[in-house]
Amino acid sequence: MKTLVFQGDSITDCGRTAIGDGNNMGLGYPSFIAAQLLGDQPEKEWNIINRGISGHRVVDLYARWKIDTLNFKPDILSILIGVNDTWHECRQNGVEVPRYDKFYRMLMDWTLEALPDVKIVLLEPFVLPFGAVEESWLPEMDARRAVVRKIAEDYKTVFVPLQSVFNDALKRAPQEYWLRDGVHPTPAGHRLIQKAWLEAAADLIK
Amino acid sequence: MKTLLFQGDSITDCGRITSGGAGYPKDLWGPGYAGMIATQLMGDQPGKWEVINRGISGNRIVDLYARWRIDALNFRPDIISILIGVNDTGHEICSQNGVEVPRYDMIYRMIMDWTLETKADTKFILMEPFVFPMGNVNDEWIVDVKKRQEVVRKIAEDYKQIFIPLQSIFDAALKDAPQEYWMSDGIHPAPAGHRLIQKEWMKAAADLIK
Repeated sequence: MKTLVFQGDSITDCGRTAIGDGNNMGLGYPSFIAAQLLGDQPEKEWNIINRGISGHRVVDLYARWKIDTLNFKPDILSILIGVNDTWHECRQNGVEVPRYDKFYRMLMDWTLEALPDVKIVLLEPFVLPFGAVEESWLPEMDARRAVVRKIAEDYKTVFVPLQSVFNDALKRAPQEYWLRDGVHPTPAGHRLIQKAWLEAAADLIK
Repeated sequence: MKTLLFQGDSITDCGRITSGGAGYPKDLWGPGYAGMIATQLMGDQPGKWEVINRGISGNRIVDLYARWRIDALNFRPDIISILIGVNDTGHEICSQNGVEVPRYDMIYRMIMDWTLETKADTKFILMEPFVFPMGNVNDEWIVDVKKRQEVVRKIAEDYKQIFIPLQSIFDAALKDAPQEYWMSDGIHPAPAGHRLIQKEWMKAAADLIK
């Protein structure tokens, strides 16, 4: 059996916590990846868990990391976090970039101490400049992206460059087609994440 | 822009209605086969598709007929995908509110005729209702559902529309994993089962969606 855990914020949650007891995959990219792996590889006995929670920042992940990640003993761990660390500063509850970097690395170290063999997939946080996204977010999101990219390098994890994926998609359709509000993907946007994730993690899931 | 409509019962609904809260559009979202197909088409072919899901849990063929105008014809779909029949059996066994096989056949054909009168070039994808002998599903169910499978197959033939033999597909999947892996209760597919439907649908509809 192979256990895959998805961690993150509302983009990963995507309705999960609103449905029943939350033991479901939600309606976004984790559910599409899960159905694909479960349907196409029944012999692998995938155990796939979504624990994304809307509104969460990196420190919120840290607070619930044991019960919501480590205790599942994942073989593969997928993380998408960062946009609320910027967004929540609108009510003076953000997480500054240096602390974001520090806690992200603390999550990585803790995870690798507990589960030395775990494979990690880090998803680049992304925004497009409309809807909820203010001009002032953009340089800060650039900084967070650099943080995640560097962590992926330093820890030799899989990295999924989602900002580039969404930027490229603008050649094919306008931003409102891919994101609802500059932050949350539409179904088409979740499809982009699904495809980029499966491509980047191809070696881990074959 | 092409309009694709999914019609059916809980297998098509698959949380579309109950999970619609918190800003998630009820039209499209849903972790079932319809949501997966919609997402794939919209993500891979931007600007080409309007996809609508109007599956409603518990519906039988007569419920589809009752809401066919507002929930199907008025969208003027280019493609209509239908999966209906298991409640026509189940509601008889559970609450004497089923739809007998001859009436199922008749109303199904009335839906086809009405649609084609309204828009003659509508393409249909008709899916075979399916069950596994687990959960509430006993022999009585299986015998009755089998007759409905014949009905849908014959309608697809008579109207020269695409037919997807889902029962055979689920039966064939049993060599890869036990029935509990594909369905949660004999009626409702598990995520892996929805993936099976998605893949077969894509294959069967390849000419319509390229």
